[in-house]
Amino acid sequence: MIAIARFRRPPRWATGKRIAFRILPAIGLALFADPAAAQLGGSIAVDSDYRLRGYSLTDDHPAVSAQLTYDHPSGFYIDLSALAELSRGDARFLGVIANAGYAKRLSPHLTIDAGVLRSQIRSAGRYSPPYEYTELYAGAFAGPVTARIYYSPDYRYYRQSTLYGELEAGFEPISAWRVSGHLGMLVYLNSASIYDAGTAHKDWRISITRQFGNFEIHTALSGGGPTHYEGLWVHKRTALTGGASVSF
Amino acid sequence: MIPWRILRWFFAVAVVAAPLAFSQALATQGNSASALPSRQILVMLKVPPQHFRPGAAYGGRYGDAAQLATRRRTAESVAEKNGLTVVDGWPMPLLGVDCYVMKLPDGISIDDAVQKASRDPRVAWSEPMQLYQAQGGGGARAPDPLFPIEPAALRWRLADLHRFATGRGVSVAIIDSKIQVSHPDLSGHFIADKNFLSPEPRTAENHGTAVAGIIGAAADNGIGIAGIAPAAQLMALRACWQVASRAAASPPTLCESLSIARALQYAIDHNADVINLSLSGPPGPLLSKLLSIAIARNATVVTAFDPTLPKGGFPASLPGVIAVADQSLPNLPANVYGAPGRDIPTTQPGGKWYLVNGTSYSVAHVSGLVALVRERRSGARLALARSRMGAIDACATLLGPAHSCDCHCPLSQTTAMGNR
Repeated sequence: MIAIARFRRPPRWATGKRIAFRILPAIGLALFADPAAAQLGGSIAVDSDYRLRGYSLTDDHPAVSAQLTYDHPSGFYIDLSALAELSRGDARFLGVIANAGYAKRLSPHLTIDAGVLRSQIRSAGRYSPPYEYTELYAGAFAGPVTARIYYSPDYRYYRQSTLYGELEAGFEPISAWRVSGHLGMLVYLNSASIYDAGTAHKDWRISITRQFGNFEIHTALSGGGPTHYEGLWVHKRTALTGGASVSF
Repeated sequence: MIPWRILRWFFAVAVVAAPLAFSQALATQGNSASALPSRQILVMLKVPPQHFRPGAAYGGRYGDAAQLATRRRTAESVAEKNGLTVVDGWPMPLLGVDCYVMKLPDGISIDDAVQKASRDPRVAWSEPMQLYQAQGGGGARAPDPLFPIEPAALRWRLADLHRFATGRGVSVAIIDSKIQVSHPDLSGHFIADKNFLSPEPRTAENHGTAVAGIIGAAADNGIGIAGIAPAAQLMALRACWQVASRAAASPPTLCESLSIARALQYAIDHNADVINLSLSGPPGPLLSKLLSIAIARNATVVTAFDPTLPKGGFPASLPGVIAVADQSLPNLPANVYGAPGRDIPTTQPGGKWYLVNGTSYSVAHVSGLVALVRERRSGARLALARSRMGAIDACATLLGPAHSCDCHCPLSQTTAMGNR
């Protein structure tokens, strides 16, 4: 269904990978220097489909994911997330996403955050390129609203630079229930892949979460567009997904 | 179609996780309002700033399950290390901490436990769980309380003040015991009715209902009394409880630090213009920090001065709050405002009215007056005017000092014009 044009295999240490593999371990070492006051947490989630930015990372199949977070009181943090696809009754490991950064509370209702993310997720579909990229991100939490911008020098294609901006907002209409919304837009900054510079992909999501202490269930309606680009499928259609997670 | 094997796996995770989750949820509801917190301390855990975490369902919120689980585990670790037991906990995003109530074992003094917990690197600070007492005096039944017997009707010329302002568009948070929001003189005036204590009583309580009536009872509805700010939007925030007592005609009303803090956080988050705290007790950093945030956000905090406590008690001793006492009390300090506090007719649970006495009700008068001022001069710096006797001059407070005569001139002129 999808044919990839102009896909070149990146050299072993492309720019984005080099950034990620230098910064991530450095932050990790700094964090573990004073473990007494740090907090380690995690969660395991099962979802009917793992969708990010309007794409299904698991080719519309159910997914199981695990997250680990290590927070230092100084504001430095590191996260690790692993993803597996559940298909035909078997689990297939797809890869990991790691990110590290620094967050600071400027006021009771404003927190800023910046860091670097590396995604090493292989494609679940036969024809699409892997979700391998590095991103530098910066954002702010202002009360219930979160705004963040990401720059990638190698977004899924060698030397394909992109900017992704997202806006999220959430509220609790009643206790333990949360409704949140997400709007995002990815802009291709050059023409190193099948996309022309300036091409934009938009995505959105509305989700409802019910929390029971450490356990929560959630459902989301998400989509994105355009669904076609130069005759190729680039986005899945709108999808309703559901899942559950437990934190520890 | 999802294979049966995957579904089985999914349900297995859910079945294992659910009991853990529910036991966690239940564990946070243990702090009964009727239990006096004499052997408890508050421990404020440092919370790392919220940050981006990749994930399909991530919402980036302060209190998401993963963060709460981590913080709960940290609290239990802090408690274990310091020989304490976690009783309850609540996120305090305005302060960037989680507030946990921890119980002391016998043989450890509260001061020692506070100092030891404060030295833990995961703890921002610790303080004793304090008790606050509502400053209401005795109540007596009056068969037919009416507006003319309200002290404010005569001393504050309330009917005339209502020609200028009724508190419309101003929100007043009443942090008190359970208010009968369905009382016929109060019904329809509330924009929030929240409980921050468990268990929630089935019936309304005296003190909160009385305070609410003085602030915001409906005017010109043919029944009961007229509140000082009858058009104000009220928030009923239950952080105090009425102590069960068969003997006392007026049972005392008590509050604890954490429930007041939770109510304050709600009031701040929902942009309350006026916060009524008809209570007094010892100072504490948790409440001080939250009140400072409220004041910095232009909320007016009105609270009770208790002459029996050092510096008049807390929060009255905190800079920036309006400290109020019954104007009949002798020798009030210069920074304390006097307002009517004797023989005040007001609302009572059960759809009734009665007479009350005490500084709590003086505070309610001033909260209502502040609501009138904020309606009339929104955004202007609040200044309360005093009469020669030291009590609040409501007229001058609302209208400002007149140049050629005292502030009764504009009132009289308006009244005369209205009568033509």
